[in-house]
Amino acid sequence: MLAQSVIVITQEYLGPASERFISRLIRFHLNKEPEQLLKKDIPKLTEWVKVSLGLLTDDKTLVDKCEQNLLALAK
Amino acid sequence: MSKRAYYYLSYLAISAIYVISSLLAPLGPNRFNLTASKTHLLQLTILLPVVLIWFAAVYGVEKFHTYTSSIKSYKDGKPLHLFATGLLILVGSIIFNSIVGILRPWALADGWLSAYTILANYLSAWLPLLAYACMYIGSAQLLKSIKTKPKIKNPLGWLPILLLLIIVGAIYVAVLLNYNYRSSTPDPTRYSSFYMSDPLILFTLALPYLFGWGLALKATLNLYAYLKQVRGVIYRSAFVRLLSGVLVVTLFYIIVQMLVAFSTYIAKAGLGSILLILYMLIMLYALGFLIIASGAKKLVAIEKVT
Repeated sequence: MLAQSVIVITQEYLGPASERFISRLIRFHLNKEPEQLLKKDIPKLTEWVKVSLGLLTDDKTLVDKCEQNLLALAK
Repeated sequence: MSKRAYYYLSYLAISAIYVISSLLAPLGPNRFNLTASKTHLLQLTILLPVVLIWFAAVYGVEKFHTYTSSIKSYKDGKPLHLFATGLLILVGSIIFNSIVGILRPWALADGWLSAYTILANYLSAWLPLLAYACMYIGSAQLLKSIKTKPKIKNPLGWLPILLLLIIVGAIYVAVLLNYNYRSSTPDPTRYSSFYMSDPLILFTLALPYLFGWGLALKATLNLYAYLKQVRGVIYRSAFVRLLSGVLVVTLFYIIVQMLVAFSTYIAKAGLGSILLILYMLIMLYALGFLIIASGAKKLVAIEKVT
């Protein structure tokens, strides 16, 4: 499942809260269930992850690295 | 009524009962030869900070418990919720024991001091033990929830705690056996007593204290081990704050319980030193719960951000 790969990447930043975080973003912004996540949804999801992480940390490098890792899933 | 309102309204009601009842309680002869008005003034200088500290405790534990309630259906949330419930019981026991303490002047004046003392001593030892047990089980389950492969167990896991408890236990027994008023006292205003036999004091008071302290210390170490192993840079920075608060609160309460257990020494100290110790502990207590609240708020932010 693609959502699981997204969760694994964001676990580096949000630990056990990652699964709840990604599920929430997918449902709220993409209006679908995590198991319905497709490669074409990754750029939009990545944008929201970036915005949300930006609210939780001032470390821009960390946010950028997460963004790169997530966008790699769309390739 | 929301759960949050329930916390704070209960706090206000209990605080009002505590302050009013303490001031209305009969004044007995005191060791420091203070007049009634000076005694009430002194009472207020202790009661009001205590009530403020309770607010910090209720605020901290409400934030933590509300956070864990929101994630209790998850693998990490269930054990953390049990831990938070333990902390909630600890706060409840601190407040409840203070409320029970209000009855002492009436017990002294009306001749039921021995029954009161036995009940108060048991509540001081056993309620926190229940809290520590929840905290320990929760912390152990939390640590277990992230272990992906079997690791070599640290042989020193319990050893430093056991050694510390053996030393404290030995000192306690030595102090107890050298105290003349264990089962009765000629003057309760000068010398406190357990009103119990030595075996009962050792096995039903001292042992629960020691066991509880062991569980509390191990619970804190478990949280530290969890912090070391869990992934998530942002999560860890929020969790480390929570852990710091838990550490301060746990150590504070262990010190308070030790002072209660070793009250023989306190009874011989002067008023100034008693107040100094009390205020220092009170400040630590408030600090610990405010740190817990801050950590919980950071964790809540992770759970709410969209």
